[in-house]
Amino acid sequence: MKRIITIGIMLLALGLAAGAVQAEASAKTPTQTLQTALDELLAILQDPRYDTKDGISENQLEVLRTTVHKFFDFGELTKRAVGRPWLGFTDRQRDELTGVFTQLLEKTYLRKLNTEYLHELAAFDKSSIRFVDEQIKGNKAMVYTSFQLTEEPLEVNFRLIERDGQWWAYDVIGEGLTLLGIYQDEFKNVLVNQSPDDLIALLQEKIRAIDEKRDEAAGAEAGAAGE
Amino acid sequence: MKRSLFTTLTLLAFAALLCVAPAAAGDQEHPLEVAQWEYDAGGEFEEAFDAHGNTPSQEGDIVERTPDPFEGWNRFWFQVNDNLYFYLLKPVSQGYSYVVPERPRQWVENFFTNLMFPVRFVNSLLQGKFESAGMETSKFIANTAFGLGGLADVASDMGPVRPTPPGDEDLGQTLGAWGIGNGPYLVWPVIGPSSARDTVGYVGDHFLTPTTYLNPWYWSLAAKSYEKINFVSLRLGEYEDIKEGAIDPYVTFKSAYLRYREKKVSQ
Repeated sequence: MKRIITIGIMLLALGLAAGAVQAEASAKTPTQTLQTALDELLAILQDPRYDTKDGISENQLEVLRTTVHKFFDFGELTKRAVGRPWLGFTDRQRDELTGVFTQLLEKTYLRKLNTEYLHELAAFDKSSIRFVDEQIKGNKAMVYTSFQLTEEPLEVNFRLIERDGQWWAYDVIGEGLTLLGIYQDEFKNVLVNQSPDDLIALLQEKIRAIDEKRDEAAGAEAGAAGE
Repeated sequence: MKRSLFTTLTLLAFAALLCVAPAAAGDQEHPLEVAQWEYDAGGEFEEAFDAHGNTPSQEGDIVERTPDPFEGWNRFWFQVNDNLYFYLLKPVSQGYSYVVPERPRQWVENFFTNLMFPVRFVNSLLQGKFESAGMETSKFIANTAFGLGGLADVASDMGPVRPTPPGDEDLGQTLGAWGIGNGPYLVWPVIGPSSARDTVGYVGDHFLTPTTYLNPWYWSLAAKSYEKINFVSLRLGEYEDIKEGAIDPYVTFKSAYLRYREKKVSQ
């Protein structure tokens, strides 16, 4: 019986070791994480199943959103954009701010995608994204890529953080313009004399304004078509 | 023995479960919930890299290092420029782009870009970028001689033979490369966001710009205005896009300008 227990424990140890090896093998490097994610996003954007004549449809958007949330951490972005004052936020305020901020980003980027890049994307292929370099310091990483979207290559860098064996992107930097940095300046400017709830209300107001503008544009178009 | 086999199998199954469970749990997790981990007050807001991949400076980033002592003045002119854009520049550019198709407008832009060769050449030299200066010279000669005086950008269409550092230099970047800081942030009427250093650069480059020497003065002004209208006509909507995502547009444009310039200087 003793021998059997020993064998059992040995097998258990072996199993655990195998599990550890498996986890090691499935952990992706920052570059691999981004590569997979960008390939997936591109595949969805170019999927012929979706009709993009009138822009990105609601169900295509849903698939895009899921894919983005698999590699981009909006919680981390929001937390860092707020900085130290984040420690004084209640859990509700943290969640609400993350929610509205994510929504605002989605709306502004979606509009940009619909109005500017949709035609260019058709001609865009995997080889247009070049992974130039990767640097890792502790649990942070920076991945340098080059997008050949138009004639001039665009330098796009990503900042990532590692959590539980997975890398999460939390900042996009295009030609030195960091999403995180710009909103850090924005949030700081508000929080210097206003409360977290004011900031949330401001972002909600912003989202409402964008929606109204979009409805207006859609209404004008429908009116023009009806005439 | 039968019982022992059973025990072994049970343990084996347990071990296998231990390996699989974490992976499966990871897959099922809703992505949004990932953000809700515990926050500790330690160095969790620290960055390992700044926007350019360097170690972040102790004094903060470029925006924190650039003072804005004339915020009232700056905000006033920012508002004036904003109105100027929406009530003058944009309608004129829209009308112009309605009449003139995009291709000829691109030719006009190429022409003005080609004409700015002295600025890029001198500043490449001043920064010791002899390769860029040489590249700019051959581009200028090729475009002027074979591109109908610069209307076509034949040099870029051919593509570079080998990678060269960008030759898009100006005096503000030169001064920055020499180690001169931004000084205070400034917003000028019509010109827009700038800094003390870039203002000096702008004035210096003014004397290297061929259209400055058109005679009489109103021809010079007309040429510069036309260049601006043509430029805007190719970029309609970009200003609005940035403004749309902004909580306070003044802060966004200041942040964007300073960060963009820092990037340019570092190149």
